[in-house]
Amino acid sequence: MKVKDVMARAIIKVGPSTGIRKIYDIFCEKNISGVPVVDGENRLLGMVTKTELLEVLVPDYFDMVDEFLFIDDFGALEERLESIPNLELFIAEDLMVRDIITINENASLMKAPALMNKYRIRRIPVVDPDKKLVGVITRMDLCRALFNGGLS
Amino acid sequence: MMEAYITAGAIFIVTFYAILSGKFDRSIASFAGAMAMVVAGIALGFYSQEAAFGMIDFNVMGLLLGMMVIVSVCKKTGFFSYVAIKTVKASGGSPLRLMIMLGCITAFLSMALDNVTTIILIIPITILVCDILGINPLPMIVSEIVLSNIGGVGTMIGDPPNMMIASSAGFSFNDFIVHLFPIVLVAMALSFVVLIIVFKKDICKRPKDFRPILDIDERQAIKDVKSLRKVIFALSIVFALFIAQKKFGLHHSFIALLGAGVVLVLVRPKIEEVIKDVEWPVLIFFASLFVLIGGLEHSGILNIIAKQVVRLASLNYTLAKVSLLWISGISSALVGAIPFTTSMLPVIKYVGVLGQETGSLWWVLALGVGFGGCGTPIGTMAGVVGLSMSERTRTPIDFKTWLKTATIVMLVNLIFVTLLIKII
Repeated sequence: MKVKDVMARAIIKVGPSTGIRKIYDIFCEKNISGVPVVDGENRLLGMVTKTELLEVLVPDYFDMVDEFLFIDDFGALEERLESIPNLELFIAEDLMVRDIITINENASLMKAPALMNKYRIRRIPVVDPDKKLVGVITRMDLCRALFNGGLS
Repeated sequence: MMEAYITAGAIFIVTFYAILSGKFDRSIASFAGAMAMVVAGIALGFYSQEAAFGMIDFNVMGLLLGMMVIVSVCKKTGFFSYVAIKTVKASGGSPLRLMIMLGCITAFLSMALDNVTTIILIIPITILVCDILGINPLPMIVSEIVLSNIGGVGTMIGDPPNMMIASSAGFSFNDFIVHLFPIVLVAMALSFVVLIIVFKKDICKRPKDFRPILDIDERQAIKDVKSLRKVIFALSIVFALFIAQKKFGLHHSFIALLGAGVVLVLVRPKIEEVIKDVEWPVLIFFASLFVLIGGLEHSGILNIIAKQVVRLASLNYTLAKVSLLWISGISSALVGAIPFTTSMLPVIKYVGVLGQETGSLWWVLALGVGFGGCGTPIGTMAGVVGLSMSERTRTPIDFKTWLKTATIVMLVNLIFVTLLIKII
């Protein structure tokens, strides 16, 4: 079985200049948690997930802090939750993860769960040999393949 | 002879250029330079494999390695966060006091431990605490970087240049405490004066709410109390032996490696992790610089420089010392403290061979390179790392801020040492 036999073809995608609120609205409406970013020719540029939306909230230096489990009250930092300056100015291009794992539509289906486990990701954008986005494969698609004997 | 001078000199200059240009990794650049020097030396007959190997100061290498192992175990205990929170609480929320207290803590930690490690562990928690308080972290970060550089000058194990000078000059741990520590204390005070003047606007604004900090239980920051006690025990042994060094005739490297051994046996950490934490690129950089400069020394160029130094010293010793101080300070700011010190070691040694008294020249060199390191962000590794960390805050250290603070601190401290030059 190939990736293209199982993947979702009708996918939601955004352009690089899509605003952060628009992305949030898409997440709410479609009940999804990640969206691929493509250019005018449908070439995959990156991916925005809820993690990236929340990253706006967390100051840049946080990953350098050795440990902050013992701090409960974030004091003045708390104000960030109420208003991030320029929040509405963020666009998909600023938020997206560029270095993403993709899978070829002709790859064997087994490669998808292997990649998901290795890179701890939930969904993989599927590309054709020209690197154009043709679909997305999620864990649910794989479960369906596993329990329904593949093609339904 | 002439061929040897030109070849060795050219390899030295090209290597230094490669190290400073930032286009190459400094460890790889210095390693390549060292290898080129040995090849040229064998071909032209001024340097041999045995001589090159003999140039590596294993007393310095062992001291560095031993301290790196101790620090590797220490930094995983959460001790630095504990100290930082404790300090913030003690400051009572006054940014002025916070800047001075964090600076002092960083200086004293840098005297005992490696500066870069101190900076990497203390700056992030400082920024976080400042954000919680809603105050500008910039004065604290600058204070920590500057004071880490200055504090390191105060002890033999505070800075790599001091370790090299100790080994070359045969100074003990206590010699450094007697000669440099008091000067460093005054230099710290002078630095705070500069920092207070520059940051007076930022540090008079009190935080709106100090309670979140008081609510933190800093004891919870310590992840592993047992290991921390063991590390402190090992460090006490190390310091006790350093103080009694002359009495027992112990080498610096032996004491540090013994401390590392005690830590490893008591804490029994995963050895792979400790090995990974050891900064091998730094050790390669040192070993390569020793071999590179050794080639320069064997070619005879450094002797010519040394003869000039002696000539100047015999004419006017005070002037010679002042020149050495400022040349060391400015060179250390421009090319980095470690490469410059490595180059000066054989020169001053040879000056001694020529019959000139060198005791105070070593101290002047240590003070010059130590205080000079503040002059530019590239002067020391603590500066490089601290600056890149500050770039991830809303108020990064820009060139102007550095010039107004750290560079002025360097000038003030070098002027201060110049005034003292007769008694050093």
